[in-house]
Amino acid sequence: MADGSRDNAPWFLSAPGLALFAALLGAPLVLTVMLSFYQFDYSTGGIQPAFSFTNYLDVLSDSYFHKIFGRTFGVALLVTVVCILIGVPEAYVLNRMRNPWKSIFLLIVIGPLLISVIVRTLGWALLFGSQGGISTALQWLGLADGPVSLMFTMTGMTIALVHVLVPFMVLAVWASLQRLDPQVEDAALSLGASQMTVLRRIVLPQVMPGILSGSMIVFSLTASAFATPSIIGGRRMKVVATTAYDEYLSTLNWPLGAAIAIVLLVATAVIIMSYNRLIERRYARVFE
Amino acid sequence: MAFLKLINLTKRFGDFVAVNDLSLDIEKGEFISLLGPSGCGKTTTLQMIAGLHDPSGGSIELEGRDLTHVPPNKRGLGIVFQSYALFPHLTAAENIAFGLEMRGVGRAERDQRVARALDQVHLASFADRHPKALSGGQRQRVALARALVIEPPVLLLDEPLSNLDAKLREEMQLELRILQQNIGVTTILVTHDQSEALSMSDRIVVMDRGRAIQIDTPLAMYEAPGNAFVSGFVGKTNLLAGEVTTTRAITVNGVKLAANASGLSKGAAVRASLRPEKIVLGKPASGLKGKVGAAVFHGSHWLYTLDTPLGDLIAVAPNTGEPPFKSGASVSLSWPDNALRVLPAESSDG
Amino acid sequence: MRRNGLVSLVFHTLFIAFILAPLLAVIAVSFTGKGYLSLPTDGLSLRWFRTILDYPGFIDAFWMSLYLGTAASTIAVSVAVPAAIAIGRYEFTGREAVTAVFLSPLMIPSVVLGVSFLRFFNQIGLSGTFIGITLAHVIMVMPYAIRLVLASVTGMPRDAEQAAATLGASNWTVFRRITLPLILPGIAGGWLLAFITSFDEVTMSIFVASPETMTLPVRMYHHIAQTIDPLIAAISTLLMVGTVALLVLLDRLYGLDRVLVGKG
Repeated sequence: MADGSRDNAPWFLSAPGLALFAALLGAPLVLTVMLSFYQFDYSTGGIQPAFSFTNYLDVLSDSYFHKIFGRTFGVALLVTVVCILIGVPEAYVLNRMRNPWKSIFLLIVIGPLLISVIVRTLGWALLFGSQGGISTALQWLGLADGPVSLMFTMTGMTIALVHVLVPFMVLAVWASLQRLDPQVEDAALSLGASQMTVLRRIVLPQVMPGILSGSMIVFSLTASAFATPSIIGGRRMKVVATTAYDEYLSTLNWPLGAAIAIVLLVATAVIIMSYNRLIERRYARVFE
Repeated sequence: MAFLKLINLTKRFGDFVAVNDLSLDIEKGEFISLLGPSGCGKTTTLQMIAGLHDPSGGSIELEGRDLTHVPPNKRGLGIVFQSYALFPHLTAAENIAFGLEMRGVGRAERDQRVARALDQVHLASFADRHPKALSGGQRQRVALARALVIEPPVLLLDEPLSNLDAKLREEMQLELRILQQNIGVTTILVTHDQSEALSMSDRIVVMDRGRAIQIDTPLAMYEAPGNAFVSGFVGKTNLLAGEVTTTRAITVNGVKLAANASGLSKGAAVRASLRPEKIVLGKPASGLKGKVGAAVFHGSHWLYTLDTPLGDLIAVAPNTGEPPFKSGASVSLSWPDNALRVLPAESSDG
Repeated sequence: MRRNGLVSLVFHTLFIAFILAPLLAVIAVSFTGKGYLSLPTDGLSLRWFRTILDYPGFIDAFWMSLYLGTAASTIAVSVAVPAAIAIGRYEFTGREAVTAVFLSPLMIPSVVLGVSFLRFFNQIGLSGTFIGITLAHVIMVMPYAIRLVLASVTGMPRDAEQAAATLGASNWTVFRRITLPLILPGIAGGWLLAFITSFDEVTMSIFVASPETMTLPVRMYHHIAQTIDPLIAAISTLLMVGTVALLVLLDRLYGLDRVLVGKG
């Protein structure tokens, strides 16, 4: 208990965890980086441990991969924007509700985070099919002449991914709304600001950190999403994660798959960090 | 041989000296208060005695045994924390029993001693309550019972009453003092409340910036403060700045006042302390005159602010039922010769 | 109290409908009596729930996921408790770095984790084993375990431990009698969240799961990739019922909003 006499205690306590992470996370990542520089022998299906940049050159120069990476980050951006547009207002509305409604709707909105992605994606697959609910509804409303299928389309994939990820946005914004002093809004109103001005000038800047962390989570999870793009997008709408999967388990070209995964990791990290910089500079005041 | 000895105790946090060369001898059964403003090092001192901080220098001895590097769980001292630090998941009785259990006291004896301790602090009917279901005062009593039931050689109290409201605090001061005297346990109280220190202690240690400024009985501390800091911190006072005229007088703002200035050279700058309740106000007559600024009623007494040739003074007069002096009234001021205390100038920077 | 206007409430209703629509679609289809995808127009039928019993592959995968989730979250929590105490209780150089290490699996795309574990287990001969997939899941769920345990460690009154020490309790006794009971809700919450995360995980598991260690979500993914039928809807409905039951438990134990902040 006495201070100063047990400087080694924290290291001793975290040693099991750190050892576990070094062995089971550090080592695999290093091996994968190494693998991404190795060569795949198409004739034998074996891996040649010879160092070269071939895989990266393939990924970075081939228009096939350009399209896949472009689609992946395009969808990630689109999903993030939609999540901000609908998640932020929903968090605000939830925050203004009274109990028990507040708790009930909060549970409905963020509870699905704990329901398997497979189950949620299956729901959209059921709705998107040409016999599904959306097609039927559009025809009934007279908005479509015949059966419409959103399966294997960009629109379908975006809708399903927004559904899977919007709870993270609501949660992040909700958390920063909790820290907001409700009297500050009243103060602004008493000084003659309109409701819209209060939202724009008072509330929004203060929930900016929440929107920022929410969009970083949504963006990075969308960029690396696998199950939803695979089921809704299928072969026609391949993204990075499904491509890496195919290289690993269909083509068996592990070195190329590893290179794709590493490029994804690095690209996501770079985008997230630049975004973070940009927003932090812009809203430096609210981040303290 | 003192019961508990602190010898040149020092604690540094980086460059900051929290406790600076503190030495103190405490007799068995004594009630000592460590009094001072926040940051003066009183709590750090207590925590070093408890073993929760390792001293940077010096040592602690209990009955001649060196305690300095004994871990807290082997010291056997009783501690009441400022926050009470009750175990929230245990009932009042279980909280009190914890220390006995650690000492391997058998179930039957444990139950008996817990019951007695609960009785001592008037909580017999609250034994099975969890801390959450107790009031502030009751929690305080549980914390006290938990510390006392192990019959510690020394009881350490860290601002134990500061979380209670004023009325309850006064009741607990009295109760704590009576309990301490009945049991005869050597007690060290840390407080920033001078009236608490004055009312409860056998001796007070006034601390400032890590140092013990003065160690004395409450009466001596009040009547003969060693310097301006002590006179200002222990009770209210009027501090007058002046210079020594003779060994028996000082001059303040050109007014010559009788005071014991022996040992000081003529012309030396000094400060003098004059307690407000020593000032006697009367109808205007010869001697020092003043004008009443405000008269504030405190029930048992009146507090006056006065505009005098010595500067602004405060005075306290008992409420006799007579109407007080009105604001603006002229009054004469007088006090017993020994009421004006000349303080050594060199330590008057507090 | 400020109220939501009409526009807000209309928006809110549409949002909730959006969230619930796919879940309700799954539930509706699972009760159909027909042999193909359709709504249960002529009465609710349990036909497809009974059919699950004819597919031992799903039953085995369910048990697999259950064992895996239990093993992975138990290991993760037992490592997380001392680590969280180190992070929450001590000021030491490298504290931030240690925290970042334990939270890092959240930052790394699951695909990358998947390919890395696949390569690693291949190299050390653990590929396709239960031990392998369990260790992979331990890493995956560790951030959740750390976050919830850490929150309860930092939220716990420090002075209760000091008081216990001054009453004569040894370090171990302080931990067992005071610290552990007080952080227990955090430990239980962390375990449950880790369990649910492990139980639901697809993207990483799909790389490391062999036919012998196939988890339920992976099995379901492979099934959906082939065909979408009322059978998979029935399984999904059961999974939702199970999740809601755990949600209620988690809420009782720890407060759901606190847990979910740990998830985000």
